[in-house]
Amino acid sequence: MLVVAGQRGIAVALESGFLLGALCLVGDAFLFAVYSTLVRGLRTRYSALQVTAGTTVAGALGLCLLAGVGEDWGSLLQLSAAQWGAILYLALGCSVLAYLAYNRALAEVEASRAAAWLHLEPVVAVALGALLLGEEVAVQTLVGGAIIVAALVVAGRV
Amino acid sequence: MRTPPTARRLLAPGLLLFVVVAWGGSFVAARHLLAPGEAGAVALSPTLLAATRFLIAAAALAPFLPWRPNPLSPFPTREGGTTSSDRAVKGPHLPLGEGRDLFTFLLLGQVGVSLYFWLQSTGVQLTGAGVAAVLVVGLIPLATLLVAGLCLREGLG
Repeated sequence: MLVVAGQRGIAVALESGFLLGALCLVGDAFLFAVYSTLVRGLRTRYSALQVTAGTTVAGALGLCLLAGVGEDWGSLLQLSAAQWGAILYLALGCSVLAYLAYNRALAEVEASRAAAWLHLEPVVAVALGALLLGEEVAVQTLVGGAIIVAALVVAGRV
Repeated sequence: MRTPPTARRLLAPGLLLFVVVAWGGSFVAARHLLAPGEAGAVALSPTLLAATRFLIAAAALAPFLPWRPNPLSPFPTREGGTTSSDRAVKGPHLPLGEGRDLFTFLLLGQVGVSLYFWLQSTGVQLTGAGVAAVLVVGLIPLATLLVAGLCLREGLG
């Protein structure tokens, strides 16, 4: 079944840049790993909130430099109210409130128990994606799952 | 006032449930902005979405920057000097300005925020909300294992 999913996945990849997107997301997981390794030094000298504030401001500066050239900032003016709601949800709900909530939770439970909850994140994303965006669950999710299983097999051999 | 024990027991699961739903939903919100389903709706580029999102977040988090002893911060600063007389003696307190930490903050801002969310937005745009979340969150344990192993071998850990 995974082979079938893989073949269909390759067809999707050639059509729509799916493979490039998947590579971006693999790179993303490694960036997160590098970040969590390097951030430990700062965490001994600064609070979680200060680290979040410092890296968010530094990241925003980097993104503004990146977006400063060649991006159509005027398109922000054409967004609907619902789309602005989505941006505020991402900025304030996900990048501020959820971080504060996660740090508050870490004061109550051990880091490993808190981190275990994060495995539910893709479940929420797949469910809401299907419900709100009408995303097809089967093929793409299977492709993603197959890549992860393959990666874990490789990891088992390392 | 003491928090009742039941409320205290439910605090962490409640907070974590909120976090997981918020972060899981972030892929769906991003997808909706990058590739809106409705005809005529404006689609943002991954770079512009990430920049706008983090400009707003940075404005909200700016009061908590470790520039100086901060009355808004519930956490003590590294030198513990938080009184006005301390400030008067030492002048502006700039732990961020202490070369190496400033560099680390700038570097981690690019690794953990700007590059991370630029790649994530691009990935969400080209794949989909569900599959993006499965890939990133699913691969993080393996990536962490490999990076930690590499650091150990290089003596950086």
